[in-house]
Amino acid sequence: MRAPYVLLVVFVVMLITGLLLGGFGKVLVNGIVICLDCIGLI
Amino acid sequence: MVTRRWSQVLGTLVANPWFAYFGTRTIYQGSAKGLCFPGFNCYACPLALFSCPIGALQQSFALLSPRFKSVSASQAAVTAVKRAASYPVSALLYVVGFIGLVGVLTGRLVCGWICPFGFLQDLLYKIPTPKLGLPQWMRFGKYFALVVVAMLIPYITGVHWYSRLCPAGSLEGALPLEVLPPKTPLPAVGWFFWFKIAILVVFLAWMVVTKRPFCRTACALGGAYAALTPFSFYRMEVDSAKCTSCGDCKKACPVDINIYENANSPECVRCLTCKKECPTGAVTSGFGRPYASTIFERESGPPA
Repeated sequence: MRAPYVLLVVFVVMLITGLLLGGFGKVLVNGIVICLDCIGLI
Repeated sequence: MVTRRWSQVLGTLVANPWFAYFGTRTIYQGSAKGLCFPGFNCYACPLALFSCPIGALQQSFALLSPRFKSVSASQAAVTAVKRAASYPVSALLYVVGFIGLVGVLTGRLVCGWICPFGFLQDLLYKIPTPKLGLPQWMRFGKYFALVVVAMLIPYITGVHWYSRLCPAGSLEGALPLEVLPPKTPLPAVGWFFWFKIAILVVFLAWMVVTKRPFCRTACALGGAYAALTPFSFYRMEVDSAKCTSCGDCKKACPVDINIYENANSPECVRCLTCKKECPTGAVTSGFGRPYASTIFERESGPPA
């Protein structure tokens, strides 16, 4: 069965592509803003 | 068991080491917040160093939504998010790749060994009270939480509803920030805060009487890892020649499964308690070739 190997490759490619396109920075900014954004203090 | 407890303590500390908050009253905003912690840990927690993968996932979907709107008290912060979201697909690729990689390598090993919220549930269940089981159909709730609440609804509405309802967020984020508020003033508590607290109280009470109810019914991250567990490289195996179906494994299992019926069940959190409790040593585990535990490969090699 090749499914696990295919999945492994797909996820590694997604992770690396996301990083190369700047996903790290997006998560960083979201991570900071969401702290005060989604905790229900409204 | 002692090793797993220490691993859970360590996981909780690694996810939440920002004790400087007590002095600075400033939530950590360094680059580590760009990394996702593999377990379920709210990044609104004043001690959190990393981002929550489900929070990041749903925020990516919300940012992709044409109806994106933040409920932030700070309009400047909203603008910053929108500016940073010029390529929201990159965040989505990064987060899905991260969750998928952890899941396909280890299955739900993270749930059993380092997840802080799983650790809390294990501890609360130790409180001596009458105990309740969990209907089988409720396990589908975590897939609903993942697909509908954490992905579809944020995309449709542009609002990250999973985070807003999440009991881990209430416990680790909302409550501590109310007790020890940061320097930046927070908006006043409204009815929604108390609604969140009510959800938290229900789950906390449920955790005392039922084994890991949040993991099994509502954890979107658990749902993602569970979907990948049957394909994961970390495998459980049960030697049917040694297994006597005595049921000792199920009695000790923190998620109430019969490991001998499906060694790589999506519900299994890979805590390895069954391995320790098995009187005949029938349960084994480890990284290996996926599907190696199928009867074809174990007994006579893969079919041609």
